[in-house]
Amino acid sequence: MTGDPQNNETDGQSTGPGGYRTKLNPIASALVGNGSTRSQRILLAVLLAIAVILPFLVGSNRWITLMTVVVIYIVLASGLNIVVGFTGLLDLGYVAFYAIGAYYTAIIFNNVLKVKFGVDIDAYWWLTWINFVVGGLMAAIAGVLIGYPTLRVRGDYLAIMTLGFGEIIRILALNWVGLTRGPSGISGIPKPAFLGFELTTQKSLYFLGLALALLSLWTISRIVRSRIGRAWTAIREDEVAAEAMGIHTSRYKLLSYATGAFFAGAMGVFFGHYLNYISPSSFMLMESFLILSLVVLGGMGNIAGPVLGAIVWMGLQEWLRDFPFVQAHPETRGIALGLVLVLLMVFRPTGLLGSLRVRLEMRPGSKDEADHERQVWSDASR
Amino acid sequence: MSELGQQLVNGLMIGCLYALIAVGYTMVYGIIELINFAFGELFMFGAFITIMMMVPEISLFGAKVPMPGLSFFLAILIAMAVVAVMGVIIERLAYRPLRNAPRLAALISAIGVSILLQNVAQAIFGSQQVPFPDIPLFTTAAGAPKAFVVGDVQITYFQVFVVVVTVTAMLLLNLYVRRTRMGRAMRASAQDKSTAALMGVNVNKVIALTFLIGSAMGALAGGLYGGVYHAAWPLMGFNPGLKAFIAAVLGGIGNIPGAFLGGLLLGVVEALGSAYLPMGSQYRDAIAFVILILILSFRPSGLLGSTVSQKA
Repeated sequence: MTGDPQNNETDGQSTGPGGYRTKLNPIASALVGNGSTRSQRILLAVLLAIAVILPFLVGSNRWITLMTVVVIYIVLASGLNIVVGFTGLLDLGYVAFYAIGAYYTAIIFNNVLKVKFGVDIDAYWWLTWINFVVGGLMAAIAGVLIGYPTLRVRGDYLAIMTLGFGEIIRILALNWVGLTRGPSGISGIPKPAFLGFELTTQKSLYFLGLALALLSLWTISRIVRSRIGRAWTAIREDEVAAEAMGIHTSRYKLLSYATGAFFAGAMGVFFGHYLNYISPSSFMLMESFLILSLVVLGGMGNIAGPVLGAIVWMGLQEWLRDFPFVQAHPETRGIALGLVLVLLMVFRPTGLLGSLRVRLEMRPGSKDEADHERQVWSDASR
Repeated sequence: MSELGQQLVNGLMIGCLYALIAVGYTMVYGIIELINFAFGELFMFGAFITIMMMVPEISLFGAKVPMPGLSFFLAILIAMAVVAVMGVIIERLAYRPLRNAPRLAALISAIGVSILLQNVAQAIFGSQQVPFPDIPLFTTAAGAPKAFVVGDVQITYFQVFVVVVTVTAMLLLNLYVRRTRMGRAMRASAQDKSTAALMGVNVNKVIALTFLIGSAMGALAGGLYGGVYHAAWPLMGFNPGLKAFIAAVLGGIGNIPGAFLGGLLLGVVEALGSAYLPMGSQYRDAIAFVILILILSFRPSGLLGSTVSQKA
């Protein structure tokens, strides 16, 4: 689907019903994109330039570490955005997929290669690169398994399913001591290496993370603009109508869970190799909520949204860490997180960068029968 | 044999508490189709406020504050009242503005409220466990729980109290929903909000009342749970909240007797599972989740539920 001749370059690929476009053209179609718009692409380009240049300007490792963390969360938030933002289903246990990737690579390197076969794990450096994909696929399979039972019921049940699943994975990681070493975690995961060239410095690891993030963002933006992405958006906007239009909603929902989980799994592999050590405490429930709030803060259903959300929120957190009050009261972080979610939903459901598309949809009473219902409501409350 | 009996007793008691929280989930979901994650946290506040009212002095925000030191029964009633008001305020501020927005917005708001309350509790009461004072009626002078023994199964007075209170509350609630005008308005709203509104039902009032009742029930469960485990802590609401929702789904969402049945069943299955399954006690919290997968796969409408529409 291409836009009108005059705004081809703004990729105004509105995918909604035809009436949508005619109503909004021509100004609005520049804003209505399934993902990114021109201004957002400029934003992303500027951010990328900063991301590449900044590590050479700042000397301290604290900055590089923060930037690496931001990059990891950008991928996580973008992956979750597929499920929450583009498909409109709530996933509250997203960190479980991240844990699966991290534990997968840790177990392969440590339990299997080192302990069971007793080989020199440095000789298997190439496995790391394969694991990015395999770890992602493992997470994707888990995503499908978790999502499958919820297909017959309303999408909300996915929230409960994933919430429970996130806890189960953590409980497994804590109690399956033979496999995961329980609370003490797995250490000695090798740094990523390439043909004998080991990525040991913070800076090199950061650039690897950045490369992975770029690859992920590019892939996600391509998927989202494809037929698959349009199907997801259609499901988000109206599942019944989507089904009536011939979209196999169950299949596309499963694909959405799987794709979202894939990126978390792949990033989990990176996380394991980056820290060399993983333990269940990295995969607490609060992490899932944090990732969700990055998506919501930046803007759901929007490629640049989670990127901005991750930068703003993680930066803010880091900045707040210097305040003695926040140090003494870690719960202020949680309070801020909860408040941000509620306030954004009530006052600005589109987040910092809302696509007009999502805004139209999130507006109270914009949905099918809701218009009629709102009238009844306002009458009733008088 | 004795262990089986003991586990049944324990499971029934925990099941009663799940059932009390499940009532809130099931009533709210029945009318506005929202999973109000905050019920788990309101449950936790119920436990904290009960303790607060019972002790002579408590530390709030790190400062010692004198407290009335009331009896358990009065304390739990006050907790129910306070939490009920909290529930109504939450509905007014965080859910009502989103009632016609997409479901995702309300769900995210609900999880936001839940995170917020959890951390607020941590700020107020601290992250450590706050001990639950002994209740004279249920505790011997030596501090041990009063109990009687049937065969070789020990049943504490408090367990009996929990079951009696739950059954009474459930019966009263069921009568209220079946027999009163307001109950009829609730049932009408659950069937069709707009038509109910056209028939003169003040749907906003009905929804507020639903939150009021659900939150009060949650607080009751919280106070009792605190009494059973002799403590309250900010994260205590998470698991019971999740399980109560599962109990509501098991019984058939939107169905009050279903919530009771689902709660009891879940409590018993969980107790037996953790006692008899290999590694059962470590994976206790996974049992409810497996049950959820099974219901959603084989009977998504729940045991007593009639229909679950899949309208998006």
